[in-house]
Amino acid sequence: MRKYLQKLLLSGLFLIVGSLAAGCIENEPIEPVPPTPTTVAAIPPRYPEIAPTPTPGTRDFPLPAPTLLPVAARPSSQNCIDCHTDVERIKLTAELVVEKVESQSEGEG
Amino acid sequence: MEVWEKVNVSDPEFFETLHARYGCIACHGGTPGTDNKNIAHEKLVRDPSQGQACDTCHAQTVEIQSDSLHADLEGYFTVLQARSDQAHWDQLMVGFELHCTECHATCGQCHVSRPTFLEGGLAAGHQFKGTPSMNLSCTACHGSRVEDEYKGQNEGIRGDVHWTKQGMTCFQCHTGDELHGTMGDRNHRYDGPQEPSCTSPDCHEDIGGENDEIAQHTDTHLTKLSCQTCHAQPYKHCYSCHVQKDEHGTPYFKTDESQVFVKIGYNPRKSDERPWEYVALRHVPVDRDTFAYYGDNLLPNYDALPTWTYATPHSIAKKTPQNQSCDACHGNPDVFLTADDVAPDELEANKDIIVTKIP
Repeated sequence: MRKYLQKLLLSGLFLIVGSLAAGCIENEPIEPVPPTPTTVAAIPPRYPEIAPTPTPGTRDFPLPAPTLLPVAARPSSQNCIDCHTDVERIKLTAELVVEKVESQSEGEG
Repeated sequence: MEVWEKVNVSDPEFFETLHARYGCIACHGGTPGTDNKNIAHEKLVRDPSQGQACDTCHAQTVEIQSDSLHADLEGYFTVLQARSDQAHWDQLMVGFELHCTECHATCGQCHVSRPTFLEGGLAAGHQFKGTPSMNLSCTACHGSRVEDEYKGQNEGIRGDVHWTKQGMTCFQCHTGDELHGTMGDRNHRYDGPQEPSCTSPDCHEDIGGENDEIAQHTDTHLTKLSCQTCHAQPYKHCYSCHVQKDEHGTPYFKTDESQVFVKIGYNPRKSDERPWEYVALRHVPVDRDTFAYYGDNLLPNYDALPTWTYATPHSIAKKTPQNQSCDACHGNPDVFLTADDVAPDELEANKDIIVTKIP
């Protein structure tokens, strides 16, 4: 047991002496190196000359239908509607079928 | 349909729609502010479709659609140019104008009224239908072959499985993009990629894949045969169309009796998009003398195109007479187009697609 203790103390002593000796050695100075050049794009990015169109603000949906003419300038279709929705009237005014000629077609077309 | 019914704006809800806001005259012209029918109808535009009304708002669709096959009838011109020549063209067009241009469809003839082929008339009280009516628009024109096949109206033949089992309308396969020509300007309906394609996403995209349990879907079958070759039930063939005018000057046509059966032949439209060796063939009604009433030999290059043409019948079924068994197709001359099936006068036109050795 005593023998092991002596070895242990001796090892510790060598370790302390070694550490002190290492601390006294002067470190090699670090040589500064030139900075790495920053990569430059061959073609510099082009910035838009025109500012992007701003996103429209809140809009009222549904949007109004596109118009061919301003409503006030649009001709009234009321006469057309009055007639073409009145079954009796269009029956009276519709052209009579003029002797429809029977087709002489035969077979499947 | 009675004359008055054709112009009866019967649906009051139409007046609540966006289209109605413009007023009748904005699209149809005419004279406002009068009760006199004749004056009111002066300068009336009956079918104001493209170039006059629709493109005000639907500019892009109208511009593209004007090059679509429904609008420019380019499919007709392509095959007629091949069969005719410059010297006979003008005279050929006299007959064409009288007999074939009813197939031209304007915007309104699909989305508002019935097509001219059905003598017009508002389809739904002037409502604008974003998706046209299958019965009043599509099959009104495509009736003899497509509708009869699709709905099972050929005697003894079931309807197409897409209709009988799924109730699919035309537009579930034939999209607005296809019909408006958005997918490309075509010279013929079978130009370019398949539109529609059976193997499109959400359709039969797994055909030939790991989960395909159909033993006959081998690489050989899938690369050599179009889908319809195996899956078309008997479909219609038409013959000998002749056009002329009656004593009143009314144009009419006559065709020979149609026949219903399957014929498989060599692919007349082989391309990267349609690479198959064998396809379903349909006899089209053209004849060497179809336009003879309007002049002699108006189709001088009649033999330039086959009269048995590439077909995509709308009579699809899982089980068909030709795929019932191996022997139902292999070695069976009844389902292949052989020289015996072709009229002597048409042998030259069809020489490249007649099957000489039955597989």
